[in-house]
Amino acid sequence: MNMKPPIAKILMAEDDPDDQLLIREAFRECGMEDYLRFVENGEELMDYLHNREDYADVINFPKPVLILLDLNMPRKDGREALEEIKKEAGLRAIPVVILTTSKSERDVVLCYDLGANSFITKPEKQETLVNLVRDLEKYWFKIVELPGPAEGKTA
Amino acid sequence: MTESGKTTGLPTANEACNERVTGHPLFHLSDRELEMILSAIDLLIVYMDREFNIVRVNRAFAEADGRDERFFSGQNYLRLYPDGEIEPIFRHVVTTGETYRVQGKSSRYLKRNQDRPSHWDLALIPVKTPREQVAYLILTLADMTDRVEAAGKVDRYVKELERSNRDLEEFAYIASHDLQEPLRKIQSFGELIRRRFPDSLDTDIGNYVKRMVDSAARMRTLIDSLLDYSRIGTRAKPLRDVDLSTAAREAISNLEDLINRTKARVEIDRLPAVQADYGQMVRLMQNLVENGLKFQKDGNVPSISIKTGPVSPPGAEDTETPSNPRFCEIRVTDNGIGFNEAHRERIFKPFQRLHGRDAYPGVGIGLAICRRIAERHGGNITGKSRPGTGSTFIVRLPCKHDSDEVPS
Repeated sequence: MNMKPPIAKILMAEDDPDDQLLIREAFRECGMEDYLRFVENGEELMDYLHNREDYADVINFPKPVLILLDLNMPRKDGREALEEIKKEAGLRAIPVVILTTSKSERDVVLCYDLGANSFITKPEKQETLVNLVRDLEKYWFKIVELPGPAEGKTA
Repeated sequence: MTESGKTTGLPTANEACNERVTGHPLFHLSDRELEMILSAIDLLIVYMDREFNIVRVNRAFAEADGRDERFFSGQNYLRLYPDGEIEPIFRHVVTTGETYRVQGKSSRYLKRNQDRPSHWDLALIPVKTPREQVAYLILTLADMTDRVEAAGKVDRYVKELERSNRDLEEFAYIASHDLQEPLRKIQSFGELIRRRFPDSLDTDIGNYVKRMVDSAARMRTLIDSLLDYSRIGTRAKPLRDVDLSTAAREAISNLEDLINRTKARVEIDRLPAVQADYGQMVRLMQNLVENGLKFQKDGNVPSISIKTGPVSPPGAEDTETPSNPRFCEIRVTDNGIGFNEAHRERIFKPFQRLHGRDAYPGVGIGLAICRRIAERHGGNITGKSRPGTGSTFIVRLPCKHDSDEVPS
């Protein structure tokens, strides 16, 4: 359905459609809408990263440069997905930023233990969310050096 | 019954022990007197030889078993009442010559016609010959059924309370997370409308959206307050010695900003020590002082004092129990707008307000929390005021227990 090559560099696992919409709006306001793609839960995220099931098309579903991960999701939650990603040689290098409503100290410790690269509590105000998206872009795409995009890579 | 006593040839305790206790008239008991005691007391007594053949039992035992006293003579106790737990104990006493006690043992033989299991404190006392050999055994059984049942009841209540506290905690968690979530979204989408359609801000749409968002924010504050209120009981810490002066000073320092802004004068007396949850005491005083700072006429400089009142003796209007006979009093007095005493009860209820939200901020939970804290500590709180003359809130808390001071 999409003729131009995808530039989705950021993959977010988020099950809540409202939050998806609010986050997409924030990306749109930063002019980064095209960078973002959503999956609905941990299982879909793993399918996407492995180009399985609906995501078998490697051209349309290239490995993301950055993963945003909600923690509380149905089927496979963010914690489980994080653990799998950080255990797998081919995926480990992709930075994972936890973006969740959870403020629990236990989750913070657990996520860093499992190898999360950042832990961010979802901002309550849209304005803060927009600023956060700007900061994420600045940090992960301008300041830090990441391993080259995996776009040429075939399974 | 004295007949049977004589025919069994019961050896007196003195004969068996070979230890004549002298010096006190109570210990010179005739057989008749001993018989009277044995048949009158509620303690169950069995006298048997070292092979557990019953010599005789007392009235109370025969009644508990439901048979005539004369039936027992010559019966073997362990054959009459087979019990895998009891047998080794009996043999142990014969071997060691030491008294053995068991508490709260249930019996399927004694009082079996009542509709509940019976429980007994049991003692097996060896009676020795001059050569320290066990010749006889005295078994005593005290009926503990009522006590064991009462303890079981308390146990069940405690479990039930723990369960309901857990339910409350769970509810509190659901309220804080699941109920807040939709409200957060109402606020976010409201904000989104205003961001994406800035031109709408001065229109009816903007006005309605603002009201919607404000209501959602208010709802969140209400939920937070309700949670706070419910947690007075569930998140409570155990009581320990608390110096109320320290708690008052902490309360004041938490309110520093507001005090500086209003240029208020706050005065703290030397306050007594009580058994309390420190954090809750800080909270209690903080809420009262904050009210004094907040409910002021424009331009009036708040002046608040925290003093201790007299230690009140037991009185008719008090709700104390004999174990809590004295209360100490903390009085927090302000020079604020005061309240009509007709509303004295209302102000301590959650979310009850005497003024419009525009006049004074807040959701109306402060005093309700104060009352809950005071009551959780076995105390109470009242308020005195006339509109325009300031108010005094009186918190009464049980004094620290000084066992030598408590009149019995």
